[in-house]
Amino acid sequence: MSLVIDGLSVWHGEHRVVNAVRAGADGGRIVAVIGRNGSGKSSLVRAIACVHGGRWSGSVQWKGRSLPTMAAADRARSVAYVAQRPIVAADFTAREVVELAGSVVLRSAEQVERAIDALGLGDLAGRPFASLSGGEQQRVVLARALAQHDLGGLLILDEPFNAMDLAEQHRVAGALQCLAAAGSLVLVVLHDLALADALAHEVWWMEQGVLRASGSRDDVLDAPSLAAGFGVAFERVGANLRPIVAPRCGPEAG
Amino acid sequence: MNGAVTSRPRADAGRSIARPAAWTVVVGLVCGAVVLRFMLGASGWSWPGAEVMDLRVGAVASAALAGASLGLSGVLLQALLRNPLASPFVLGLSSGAGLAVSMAALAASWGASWVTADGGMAAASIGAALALLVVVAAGRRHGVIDPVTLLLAGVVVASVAGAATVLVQYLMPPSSRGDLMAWAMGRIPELPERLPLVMAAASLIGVGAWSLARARWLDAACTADDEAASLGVDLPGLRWRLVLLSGLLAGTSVVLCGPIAFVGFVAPHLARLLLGARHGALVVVAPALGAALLIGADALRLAVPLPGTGRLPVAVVTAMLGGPVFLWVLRRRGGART
Repeated sequence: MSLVIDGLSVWHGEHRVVNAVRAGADGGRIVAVIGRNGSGKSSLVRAIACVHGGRWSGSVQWKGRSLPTMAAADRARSVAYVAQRPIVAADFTAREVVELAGSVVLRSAEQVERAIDALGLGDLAGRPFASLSGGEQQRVVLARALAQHDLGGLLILDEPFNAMDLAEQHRVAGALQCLAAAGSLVLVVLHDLALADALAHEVWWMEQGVLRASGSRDDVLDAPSLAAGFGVAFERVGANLRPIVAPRCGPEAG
Repeated sequence: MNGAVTSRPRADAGRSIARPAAWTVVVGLVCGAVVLRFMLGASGWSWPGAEVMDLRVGAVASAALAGASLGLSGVLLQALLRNPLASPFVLGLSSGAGLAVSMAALAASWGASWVTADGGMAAASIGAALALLVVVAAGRRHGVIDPVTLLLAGVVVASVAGAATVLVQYLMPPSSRGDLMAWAMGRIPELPERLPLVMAAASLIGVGAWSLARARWLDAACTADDEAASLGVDLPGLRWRLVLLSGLLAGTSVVLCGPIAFVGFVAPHLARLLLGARHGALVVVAPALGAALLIGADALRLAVPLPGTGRLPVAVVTAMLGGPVFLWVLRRRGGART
């Protein structure tokens, strides 16, 4: 396995939000991390990315090397992380934000251009980052992560699709699939289970800080289990999973 | 890929003017301010003769070093706090230095024989360092520097030190207040002492070289903590260095010219308007513009004589010019949020 997590626990203050998680995944896969709000998804992926500022314990190995003890530049080449809400507190253009990929590790103009093209940002590259929509900003920081990590590395995304319209989701999902096909491991936190079902090869299901289930998409995204865990009914339409989030009023309700 | 690279939109497409023109403006402003200050003296407009040339050189050198230090300090603080409204004064360093100098002067007026000119400079340095220590101690959370807490701690320290300075000045005999108040309102020395001048030059060169080498880290520091960490930047370590180095620059400028407001705030903004937000250019251009601003403010002070009493204090000129810019930036940021 490329990524091996063993006994990973994470604390926020005195409160343990991730409890002794053991999991692993191979390169070339997309792993969706799902779970209800407060289940520990973001804390788990932040700890794996080594960007959690507080207390944690356990081990995170990437290709046989301990990620937390790796030199910062080596880690930046191997692992790229995109936060839930991108913050850029400077009047950078979109291209300048993508160029941040080379803050510590050397990145060529060609690598930056390739990432910009992969996410269809050519027309936006010269515009101020702050003037872009939420979905466009997410694509820009995603392009930064693409340019930052070496192919075959680990890309960790915390709810990247939240602010995106359908066309943007389509483009980004395509880019992630290409990245996985090229050998990278993509670990992506998702609230949209239909998207997880369409995109991921494997699913990690977090519940109250523990890994409730992990495995292939078909094994974990089982409609009855999901209904029990999420409190919402699911149905399969053809091969597609669909949550029934807006139940119609029955005749008895009227 | 080459074709794509050459046909891509320019990275500085959002800037108001092109890059070569921006550099020309920077060089023009610096040269213009220097020439202006050389030609202005107590006797009016003229190129200085040999008898006053030393005074002009001393004034230009002092203003250039203090202004450049404030400009660079402002860039570092704004990166540290991720806030374009930050400036060297936000850490309360100037107020701390001012309080220490006032206390030394009070001791001298009460007959303390140990207070000399060098003693005043030492007091300013110690005051700035103590203010910095208090702000850093109060601005830490869980062992790391928290930008927001640091900002609030700086405001509180500046307010308390400012009030204490007024109290000390009130306690002084009226005959001793003049010099102290002149320093407290900013004074560009025409015959600067060698030690503060050398200290300011050495710290400016050292911190400038470090900032240039770490410009990409400063860019990354403008993102969220977790993203900066993911980019490979040691953010806690960087923040400690930024606090210490920006404090050093602010302290040396205060020792040299007294507390001068807004230069450290306006210079980085002018630099951004001209050359964008990347720190590779900012850490070079903001000090140059800070120098030009302070030299220009000193020239303006001389060009506008006050009836009867002499000249405007230089800090009054910088405050009157910088205050409206501060409000403009504040309003612009407020508009951007909404």
